[in-house]
Amino acid sequence: MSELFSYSFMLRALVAAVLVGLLCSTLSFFVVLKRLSFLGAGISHTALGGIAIGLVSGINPVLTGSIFAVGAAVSTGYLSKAGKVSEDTIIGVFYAFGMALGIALISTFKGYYPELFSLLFGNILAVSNQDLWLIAIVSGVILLALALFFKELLAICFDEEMALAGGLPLNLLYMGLLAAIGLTIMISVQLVGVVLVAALIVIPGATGFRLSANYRGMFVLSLVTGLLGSVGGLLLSYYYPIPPGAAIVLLMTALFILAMIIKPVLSNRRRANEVGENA
Amino acid sequence: MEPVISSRNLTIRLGSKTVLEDISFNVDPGQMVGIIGPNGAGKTTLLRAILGLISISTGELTVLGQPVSLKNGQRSRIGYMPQRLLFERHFPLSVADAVATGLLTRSTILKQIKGADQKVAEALTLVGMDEHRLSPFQELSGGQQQRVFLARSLVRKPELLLLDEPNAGLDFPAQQKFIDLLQQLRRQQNLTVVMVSHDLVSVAAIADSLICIDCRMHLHGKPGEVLHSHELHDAYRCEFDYLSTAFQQEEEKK
Repeated sequence: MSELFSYSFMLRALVAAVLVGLLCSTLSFFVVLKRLSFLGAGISHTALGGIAIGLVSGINPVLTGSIFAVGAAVSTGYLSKAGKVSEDTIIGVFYAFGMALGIALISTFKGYYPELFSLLFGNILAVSNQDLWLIAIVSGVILLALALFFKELLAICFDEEMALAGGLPLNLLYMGLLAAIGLTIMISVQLVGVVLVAALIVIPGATGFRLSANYRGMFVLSLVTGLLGSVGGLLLSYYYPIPPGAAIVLLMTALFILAMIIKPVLSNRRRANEVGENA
Repeated sequence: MEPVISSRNLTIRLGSKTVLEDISFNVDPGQMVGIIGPNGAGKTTLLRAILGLISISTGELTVLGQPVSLKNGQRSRIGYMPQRLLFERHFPLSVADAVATGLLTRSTILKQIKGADQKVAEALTLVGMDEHRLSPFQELSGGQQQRVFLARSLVRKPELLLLDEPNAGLDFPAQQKFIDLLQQLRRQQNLTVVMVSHDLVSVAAIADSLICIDCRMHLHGKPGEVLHSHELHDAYRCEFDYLSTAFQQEEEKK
């Protein structure tokens, strides 16, 4: 194991995995509670249009992809709040548009674009020091904002109408959450790629939600799933011939399936204990 | 005595649609007022306007001595219980956590709420749910969840309580229990209560007065007068002879 981290690219990949695992699992907690899972999948695919624009124009594709991702997330929130179109309908349109634009632009490429494949399928081992700084800064800012507004975000996930009645700035908090999801998706793309990134912001929260009836437990389990999945997947890919992105998502999915299996066992045991105590 | 709510020719338009038109009424301190009307009559819109969540197009609406605006501060003096349809039933909160969400306001952002545990405990005691303080909210029955929501709307010790269909989706015993609890709290806390309901007989049995709207004001009066009025039939566009009989039976029981 120690020789593993003697490679600087592996060390950078590990730090990136920890940061992105932490960030995605924290956001995943809110994504699952607010039922935004489809939005996560939709935004990541919408970002393909922005990435393709970046590649064609020579601008950093992470930047153009981020603009697309954040723009799609915030526009979805705004249009669904302002109009009579549901979030899933709007994101369904963006999803298709982003993919179609991406495919149309990519089809004009001549030659081989390794950067495109990295962004489509992820390449955590190619993370540079500059990328790492970007991930660290974006993660720090988003995690700080989530920590500062945690109780308010939890309240709007539980009952928007009540939060609004209390005077909370519902639209601002909601749009902020959506923008954070868009940005997180884009900085996570380097790990697992556009195709798989939605898993990182859905599976950790879904695993926690399955296992805990209390948000504190759900939050901790979400973090554990995110970190185990991202770091464990990276290690798996070192020892077995599986691309890191796929290994991370496969490991997280295995943790979710495990949660699905052990939940009824835990519930039955708890019920048996309650009956025993009451008898 | 200054009314808790005073509405004068209130009109609310949402986009091109007039949802409420020329609504005038007063609610006096300590009164319990039922708002009735058919589906789409604007009952929830009226509650949301009282809370300052919807802009008034024309007319005047004064609540707790201040004209309602989207930015004014009297919301902290109003307790609100939205319809049950609007929340996630399996949300992972304890009962105490669910009640504590009622303490959050614009002024508590980035701040620790002082005495939150004590306030939550008091509110849960009021509704008889203190024993369930640490229970998962998702494991409660519909009736118990409704009592938790009532505790949440009382946690800031409001002067005015707005309830939107509090009995919807509950079975008859749970409805009865909730109504009894509401009556008891209203007397204990000297609350002014405005309750939207489709259950005309139950609301008529406990309200001091009923307001019947169907976009426009149809009736405002004592429950017996409203339920016997032909204008009620016009608002609902059907005959309600059985209501008068049911209401008389409720009155006789008292």
